[in-house]
Amino acid sequence: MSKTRHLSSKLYGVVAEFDTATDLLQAAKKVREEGYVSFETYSPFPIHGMDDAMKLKPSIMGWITFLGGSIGLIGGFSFQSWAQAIAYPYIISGKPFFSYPAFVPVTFELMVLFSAFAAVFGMFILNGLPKYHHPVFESKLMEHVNSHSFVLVVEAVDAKFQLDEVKTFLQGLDPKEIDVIGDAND
Amino acid sequence: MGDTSVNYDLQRHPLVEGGPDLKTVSDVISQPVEVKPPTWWLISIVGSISILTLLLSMVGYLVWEGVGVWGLNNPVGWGFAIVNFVFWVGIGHAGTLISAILFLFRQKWRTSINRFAEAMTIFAVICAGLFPGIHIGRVWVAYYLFPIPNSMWLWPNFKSPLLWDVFAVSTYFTVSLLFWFVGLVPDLAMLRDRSTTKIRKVLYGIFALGWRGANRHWQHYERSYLLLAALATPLVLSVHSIVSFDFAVSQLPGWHTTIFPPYFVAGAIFSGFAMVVTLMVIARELFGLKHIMTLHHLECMNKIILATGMMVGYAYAMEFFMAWYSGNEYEAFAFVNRAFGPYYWAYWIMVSCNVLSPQFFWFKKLRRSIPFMFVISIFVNIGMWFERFVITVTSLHRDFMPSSWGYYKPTFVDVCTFIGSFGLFFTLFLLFLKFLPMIAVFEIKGVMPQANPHAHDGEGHVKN
Amino acid sequence: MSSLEDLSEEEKRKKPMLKKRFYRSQSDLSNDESSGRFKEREFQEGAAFLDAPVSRRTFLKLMGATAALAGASGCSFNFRKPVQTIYPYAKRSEYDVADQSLYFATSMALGEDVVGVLAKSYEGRPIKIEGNPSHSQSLGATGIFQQSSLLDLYDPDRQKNVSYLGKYRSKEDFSAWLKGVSTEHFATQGEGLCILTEAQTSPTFYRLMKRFQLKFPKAKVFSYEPINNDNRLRGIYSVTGRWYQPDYFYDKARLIVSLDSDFLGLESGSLLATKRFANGRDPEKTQNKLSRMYVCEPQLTVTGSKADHRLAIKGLRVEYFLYVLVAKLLDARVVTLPSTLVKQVRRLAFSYEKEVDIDFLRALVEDILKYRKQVLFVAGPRQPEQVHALLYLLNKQLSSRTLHRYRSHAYQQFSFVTESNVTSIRNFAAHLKTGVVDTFLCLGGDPVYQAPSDVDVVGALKFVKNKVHVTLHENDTSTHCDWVVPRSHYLESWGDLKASDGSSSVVQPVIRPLYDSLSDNECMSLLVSSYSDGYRLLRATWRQFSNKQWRSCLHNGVLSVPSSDEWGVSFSDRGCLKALSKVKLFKRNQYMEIGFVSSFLYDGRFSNNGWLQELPDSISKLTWDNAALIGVETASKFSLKSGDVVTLRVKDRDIDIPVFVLPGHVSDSITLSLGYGRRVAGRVGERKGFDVYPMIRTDDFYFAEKATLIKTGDVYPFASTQEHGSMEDRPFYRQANLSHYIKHPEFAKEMVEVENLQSLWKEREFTDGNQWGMVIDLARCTGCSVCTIACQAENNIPIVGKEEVLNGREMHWIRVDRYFEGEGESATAVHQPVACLHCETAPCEQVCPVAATVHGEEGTNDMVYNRCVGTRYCADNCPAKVRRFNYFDYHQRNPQAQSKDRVHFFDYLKEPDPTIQLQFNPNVTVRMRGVMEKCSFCIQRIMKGKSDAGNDQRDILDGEVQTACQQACPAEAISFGNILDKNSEVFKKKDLHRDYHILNELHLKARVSYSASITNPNSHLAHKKESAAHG
Repeated sequence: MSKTRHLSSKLYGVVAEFDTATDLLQAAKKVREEGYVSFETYSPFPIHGMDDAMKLKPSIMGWITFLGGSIGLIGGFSFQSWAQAIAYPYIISGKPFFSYPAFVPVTFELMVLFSAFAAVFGMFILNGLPKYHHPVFESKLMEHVNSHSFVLVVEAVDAKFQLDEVKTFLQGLDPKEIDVIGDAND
Repeated sequence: MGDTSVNYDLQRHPLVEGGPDLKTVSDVISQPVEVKPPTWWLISIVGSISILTLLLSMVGYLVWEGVGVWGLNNPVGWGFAIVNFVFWVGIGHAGTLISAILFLFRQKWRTSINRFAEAMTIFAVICAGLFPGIHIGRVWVAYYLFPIPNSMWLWPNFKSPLLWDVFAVSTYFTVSLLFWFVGLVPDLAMLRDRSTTKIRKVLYGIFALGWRGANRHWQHYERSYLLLAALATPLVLSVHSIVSFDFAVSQLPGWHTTIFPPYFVAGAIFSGFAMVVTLMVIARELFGLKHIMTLHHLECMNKIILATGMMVGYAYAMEFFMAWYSGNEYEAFAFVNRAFGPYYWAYWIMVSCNVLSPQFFWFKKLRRSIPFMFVISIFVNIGMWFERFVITVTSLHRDFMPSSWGYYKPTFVDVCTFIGSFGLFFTLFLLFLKFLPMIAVFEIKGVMPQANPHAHDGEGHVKN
Repeated sequence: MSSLEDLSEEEKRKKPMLKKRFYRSQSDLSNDESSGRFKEREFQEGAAFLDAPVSRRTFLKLMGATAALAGASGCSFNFRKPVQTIYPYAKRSEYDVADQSLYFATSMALGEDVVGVLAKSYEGRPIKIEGNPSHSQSLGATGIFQQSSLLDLYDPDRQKNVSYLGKYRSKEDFSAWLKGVSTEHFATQGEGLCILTEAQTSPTFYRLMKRFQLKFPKAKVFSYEPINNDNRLRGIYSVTGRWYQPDYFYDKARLIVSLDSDFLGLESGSLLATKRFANGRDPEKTQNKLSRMYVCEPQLTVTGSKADHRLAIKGLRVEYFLYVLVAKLLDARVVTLPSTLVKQVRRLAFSYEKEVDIDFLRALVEDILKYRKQVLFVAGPRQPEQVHALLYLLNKQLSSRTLHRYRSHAYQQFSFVTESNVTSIRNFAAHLKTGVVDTFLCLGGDPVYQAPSDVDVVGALKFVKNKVHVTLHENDTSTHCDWVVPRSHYLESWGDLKASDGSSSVVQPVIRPLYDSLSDNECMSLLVSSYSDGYRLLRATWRQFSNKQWRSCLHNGVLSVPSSDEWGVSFSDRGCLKALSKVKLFKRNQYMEIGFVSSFLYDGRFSNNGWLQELPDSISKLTWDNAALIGVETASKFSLKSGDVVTLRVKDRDIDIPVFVLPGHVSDSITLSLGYGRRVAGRVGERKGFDVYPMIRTDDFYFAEKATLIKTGDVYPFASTQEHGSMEDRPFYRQANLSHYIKHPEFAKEMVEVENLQSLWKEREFTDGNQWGMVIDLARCTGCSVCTIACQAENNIPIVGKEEVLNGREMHWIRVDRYFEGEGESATAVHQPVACLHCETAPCEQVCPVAATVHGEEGTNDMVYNRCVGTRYCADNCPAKVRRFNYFDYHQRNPQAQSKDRVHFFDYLKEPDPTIQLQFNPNVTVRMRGVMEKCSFCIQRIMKGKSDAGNDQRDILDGEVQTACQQACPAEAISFGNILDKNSEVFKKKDLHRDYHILNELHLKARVSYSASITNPNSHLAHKKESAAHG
């Protein structure tokens, strides 16, 4: 069991590395059953079933995107109508100023554009990205998490968090290695 | 670990052959990014940059002298520029389709090529976007085309297909770019963690946005990615439909056809897949990624090329039928003139490349032969360029009034600009190959057995 | 160079006005002549000359230049501007209201042709030429030469100052010198004096000439015009003994027989002829009693294309055809000739009888009998004297007095006028060679270039000590003369002119002479007395007028009405007989003939005029070139195609010239048009086309016999504005013969079945105010192409040069489409002017992404140049292809453009020459490169009309607003006005049965419609033709 370099004195949580996605999934189940809420698993790819294991609420991305799309749709159409029929109407091929069929393509494109913006930036906001400094990066166990290692972190903010209890409990889950982020003696 | 490969075969061809472990996959894919660039890369980047310089000087000359340096004339107001524009946009579409539609259909084999294809999309759209920009007579007021009011609150004309095009293409570019970038974030994070030098850490770090692979992130991420895919699919269809409106909404014989939108979309997929095959065949050789971009993948794509090729052929036939069936003399003449007029050669090149050459893919042997498919994919690209040439130029050069019939001959500027656009494309592509993972690492891992948490009967596990 | 320097000094002292107007700065002034061109070369931007293609070479050159200039600008790039003097518009010219144009009546002479015009003057500079309605030869119409003469006035390549052996001299120096000459010759009665002049029609000139001849009885005067009416004049003289000039009333004739006469085209008096002819062919004006026209001609002309029956016949056989015809008429006892003549005619007729197209002849005779007293015969100036003589006799007997008038030539007492031009130029050279002449004065013209090849003018000039050339442009002759004197343009000098009908009109200046120039009259005054300016000379001629009368003369531009005609002179057959007896019997051997015709450059005097150089020939649609026109049969016989260069040889002379294959051209015949291929002309006209004067000899001046044609194998590119001659059975030009029209008055509309086109949306109705519309009457239009030039002058349309025409980028807003009908030499052509159709549902508008072309409230399809980004989508979507795109900045690329003063970074670009800028219409934007343009219905004129009407608080009157093309059209084929006004001419025209829209099936709702052409063929011949066509 190795100690990491202490950058922040604040205790963040306990890190446990596991061999495989399966082990991590099992571990996450157990941790949740034990009653811990604010814990997080880290993996190089999304693991199926992990959301249930961690009992997470379903993502609200869909609604955000829908909102963006609606703005694009309504905004786009009404903007065109205003620009062509009110702001500066001009006679084009003897057509009416408000020729709505002609506005369909642009309206559609704007709808897609705005939903895409919503989908992407919504996701960034929900995930709190970009975030260039995060305590978990301090643990060397995290080094390969985006490549091939599977990590579980029980955070100190959890109501039930007791450093030693957590350690021993995680040991029970047969991890590859265990580490503490932050100053253990405060 | 040869034994592992047998245990879990997803009742199909293995998507990653040889069953390496996660670390190896990371290493293999990151390797080109981390080692010194090979000689062939240096040679080709020098080559493509010099072609890019040709493009830039041609554009400079064009802007200085005027559009007259091209071969355009009174009946033929649109020439190479528009042809190249449609050509490049068409190529772009395959990328989006591979990454979006195949994703929606849970076609897991896409994972090996989607990053690649999306990159191709973006670079192709950049090339495409260049041409409408420079083909206008007064480049310096190109911003009139964007929804910016003048001091009298005059806005662009939203009844014009060309304006629809501006919106379609710019939306398409933006969305593709976002889609690509979102896909890149976890891999950038990986590169950041692997990177040994400070500078790399910082650069990749910036674009990785501090991704940590946390499950809560994955949750939103996957949903967002799915939504983007769901959005990109209708988008890609709409974009080429709108590109086809540039022609279909006018009333020129040979342009004014309702079949254009589906016909153009099919053509786009056709040419795009051909281009992907061309590039993949080269890339998998050069990077030794044969076990990830498998022959199976290529075969799948050849099947699609065959199918879309047939659709395009159907469209050609249907155009002729309609021209005859409509009983409209101008329409009829336009199509007879295509096949037997002064530009007959362009038409027959188009037909033989697009309709005949893909027919060989009926044979499994040819479908799976690397050199053969390479040749065919080149043919298809040539043919599709000529399709756009035939549609644009032959329709224009002889329309209603015989008194103003003419003939369009491209100048050296036309040709060099087109060649130069490849310089732009390949320069961007080579930079991509060098500095970004050309395969979506996390998606690959996602389709590997280790990713399947429910196959936990022990043997499935691979000890790291 | 030094001379140019002291030119600048001189100018500064003597002509502040001159400097003020035409030089930006001293440096510019000194650069003005030759070194100006170097400056241009330096700043060519890769393609400054019109004929320079944008090639790889120019591209590299450009790259170099750019780099160099970038460097240059780097070091010399300061914001200190060059010294320039500005002149406030404080002293404006008389009556001049700001941005209101004034019209001054003046008149222009071309050969013996005189046309009264109105010069539109804006802030003291003429910007447009219109016809003078009160002048008998114009009646409000103009021809291409009148329209484009404006460009000649402003031509920066004009002779700008008096020069002696290339050194600058002032006008005063020259006057002093000439006075000296005249005094020293007074002693010898002008023995050593010799004058060669262009055709003169000025009463003042002849007044001075009389005094000149009194003062110098021994002095010799010659006159030379390569394009003239000698044969007609002398032919009629040969039977009447009078120098008669005929005046034909084509509107009153029911049958017109034209023997190789292009009276609707480039012959003198064509304006009046066109108007009269069109009136005779107008189904409404004549209540369907159209005239019928038979034409016998070698090459297809606009006259031939308007004919009901055209016989392609070699020019040298036309007279034999006439003999046969006369013989037939004699048999029919409708004409009587003195027995002596009859004998000769029958003798000659017999030799040709077997060759003549018998159907054509029979029909013709039949019609002559039918329309007795209403038949009009006219022969071209190329036909020999005896033809004109016989025609005079035929006209006398077969048509009433109202159809033709004969007036004595106003200046017949002057021998050099009545003497034929050929003899004149021959004698001139001979006279010089005798060596008696020491002072030779050449008034205009260019004998060195224009003289027949067997007249050695250059050699003759060597015998003369002092040679003076008074000329508008430097040309071949001036290079052989030691004094070169700038000749005043008619728009900057005082004078008077007498038309062939005897009416005199005034020539008054509209602008102060641009250069240090003299008019012919002023030169004459120098010789006969001391210098006095044009005005005093003129006033002296018309002393009889009181000042009040004089003012009204100046206002109307007319000094005297047509003189009364003479009739019923007894004729003598002697002259005609002599001529006839000289005619050889027709031999049946197949020789190749060459015929010489005038061109859009006339005899070459307009060769530096870009508008005319680029005006497509009415039939061949060639620009910037002449060619050896040959028929389809000849082409196949020698296996030639258009562009193949051949060597033409007649006796000892030969030239290399490319052929152009033209349907309707008779076989075994070649047509060469004069005026091209000048060695010294100016930056625009130099070495454009091919000089064919070397083929002319005094003995075969109009036609050359026994020509040989050898294919050289070289190929020459021709810039034709219309490659495709066939209409592809598409109903754009619609015509029917009279009987069919009477049976089916709606035939034109019925030719295209347009099902009831419904719109998906409620279309905009244009139901109030002025709704502008146009009708082009194809029955009246002859295809003379003056509309194109008028439009070009009105709307600041640039010329693009041969290279760009080859690229298919000509800029004319109104083009005249020419479609051939029929095969081979019997083919004929139809002409259809096409400008923007101003569709109410314009296809161009909806595709423009930036709303640069939108629809006006008054139904016009407007271009917004400053909004246009140049996507060219509108042009692609225009079914009539009338939109024109500025692929380059053509004003900058004009060879006469000059580089700007370096004021800011981009000013090493070019700008039109300052004098050319004076011509621009200030009410029309000068378009830059990269924008689309097209016919605007002369929107600036519409706006003018509206503001005028608004000022007097009334509606615009019908005909108050005229488009440039309409105003110029001599055939009155174009009507324009408010289509809602039931009384307007355009409404009446659109109301006609024969009114139709082209491309109506596209639901364009075009504002421009056409009136179908109605022909009046002889029923038998027409029937024969049809049956021939069908089987």
